[in-house]
Amino acid sequence: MDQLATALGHFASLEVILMMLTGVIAGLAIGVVPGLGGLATLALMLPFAYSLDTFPALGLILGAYSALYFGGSISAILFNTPGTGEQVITTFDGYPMTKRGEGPRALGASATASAIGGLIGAALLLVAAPLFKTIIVYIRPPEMFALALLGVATIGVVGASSITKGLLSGLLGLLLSFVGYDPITAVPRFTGGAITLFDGISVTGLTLGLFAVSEMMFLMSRGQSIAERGGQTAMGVSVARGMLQGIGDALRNFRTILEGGFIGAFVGMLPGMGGTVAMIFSYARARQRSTDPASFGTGNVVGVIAPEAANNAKEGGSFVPTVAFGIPGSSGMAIFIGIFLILGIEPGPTMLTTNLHVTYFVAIAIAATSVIASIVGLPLATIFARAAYMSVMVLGPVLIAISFAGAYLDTQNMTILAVVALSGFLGFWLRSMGYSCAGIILGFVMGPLVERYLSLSLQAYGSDFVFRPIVIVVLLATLWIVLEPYRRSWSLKTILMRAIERWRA
Amino acid sequence: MKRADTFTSLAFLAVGLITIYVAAGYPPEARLIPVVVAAAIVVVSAIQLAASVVHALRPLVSEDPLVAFADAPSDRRQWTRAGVAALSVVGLFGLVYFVGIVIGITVYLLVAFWVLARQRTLVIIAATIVAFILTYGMFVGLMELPLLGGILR
Repeated sequence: MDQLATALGHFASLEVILMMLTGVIAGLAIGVVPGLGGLATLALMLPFAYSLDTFPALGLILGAYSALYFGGSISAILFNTPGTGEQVITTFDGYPMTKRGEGPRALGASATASAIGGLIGAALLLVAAPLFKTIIVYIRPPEMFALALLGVATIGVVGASSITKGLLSGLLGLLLSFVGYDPITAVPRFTGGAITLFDGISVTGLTLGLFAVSEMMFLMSRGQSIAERGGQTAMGVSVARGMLQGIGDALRNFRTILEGGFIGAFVGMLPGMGGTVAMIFSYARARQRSTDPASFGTGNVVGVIAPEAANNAKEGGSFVPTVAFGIPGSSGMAIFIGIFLILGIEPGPTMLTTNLHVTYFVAIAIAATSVIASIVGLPLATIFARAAYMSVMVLGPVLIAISFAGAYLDTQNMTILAVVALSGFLGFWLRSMGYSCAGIILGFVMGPLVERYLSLSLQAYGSDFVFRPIVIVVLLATLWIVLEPYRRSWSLKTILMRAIERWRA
Repeated sequence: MKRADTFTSLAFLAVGLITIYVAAGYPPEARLIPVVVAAAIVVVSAIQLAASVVHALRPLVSEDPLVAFADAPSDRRQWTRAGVAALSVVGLFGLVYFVGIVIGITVYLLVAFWVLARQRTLVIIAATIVAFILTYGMFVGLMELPLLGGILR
């Protein structure tokens, strides 16, 4: 309870509240711009964390992250262009409602569902954190090493176009993390003699390059505008009345929100399962329960409410493995691990013991910012929505310049700017070839943990550490994740089908 | 695109082999994990390379080409635009290197708005002034950071 009181005490600070508000407005503004996505937003926020204390910095970033999804819903509903890729499900019913002149109603319903969904996700994190505390006593360095490998394998495999490319992405990230002083022998490794690399590659520079700069290069390569003009954006006769009607719709369908929220929160807890999965499950469940399933896809307000509740709830859920084991539940959480490390907080067991107040702070901040985003976002929706029409040739250079300026705030030298530029090119090239940038950053943040826990395990248990029961289970799970797609393609049925096709040919 | 993919696999293979070669010069404790990771890179990239040559090995990669290159620029025009974007990043880096961060970012945005975005002169001048004030205000006024002056200063 003391830790909870400490966490609540941080919200008495004006700086924390102001930063949360700033984050929410930035998240809404960035969220409505299709293509930028959550990872680029987190990357752009990263440098600002340096100039702030721990809790205002967390407030800023969590504010932006929570608001991002409602920002994305605005463009999904008004322009049929989801701000983040996951929100394509919201367009199924949101955009048909806009075409009928019910855009404000859909926005009101989405805002309410998002806010309540965020509260459910945060509640799960608050409840789950103390429960995991009892499990965590069985987790020693060998188990942490195995869990770190599981994390790299999961996100690496899920994020890329093939298993081998996913693995290569994660392994490249691990390799990049070895640049700089070796934590055990203090020997500088892979620095090429450059003194500025002795402390390693900056996580800020790498993240900004891989996500923000490469994303801008993709957007600039695709053309002049983000959302096509000419799309139906009719807001209807009375915006305020429509929004209130939408809020009423959401409250009347409270059970759908609760179901969506729980689906989202639990799917979020499973590493590698994205928001799209949570939204699809929730949408399908709402459709299954509906007395008029045929109306889904034609502008049924429940088709907006169900996925929106799941999408915001999954964020709280995905924090559970991140804070308990230091294993990210999603690509965004991989960057969050970097943010925690920058702020001097080690993700993993300490976040359930000495730093439990940080975990509580995160949960409460997610809940608060989800509600603030919906309250602030509704009146600003139409203003922010105009950003989607901005030319990428204006937006691209501005965000590239912000990335450089942000990276400069980190170490104030040219090396980090070179890291931003080079990792931007690397991210663009590798993503074009089907590799996963999230896998690279995950390998990068997990690298020091893998190295440290392996070293500790070898010192304490010798090579026998791999025979510890939990280690065996986790390593088998890792193997299963890597080999499962092969099992499918090498199953007897597939081999027979292939042979028959060849024989026919 | 397939050739570019093969080239990428080759690059991974080279990175793995170079890492093993360089790591050989470090003490055993410092080289253990980098060598294991680099060896894994060599094995996985070799599988990818082999699969791109030997048809029977393709299930090992199990990749749908439509998904694999979905993000890649689809035609020459898009690749050209991507090249321009890359050049603009190099240009910004060069500007910061030569004239410092504040002037560099200001000049970069001036040129980008003029050449890439083709905005009206008034918009370009206004945006440039705003960019200068914001950059200078952030670094000097707010953060009180030592500014990179660039080698020309």
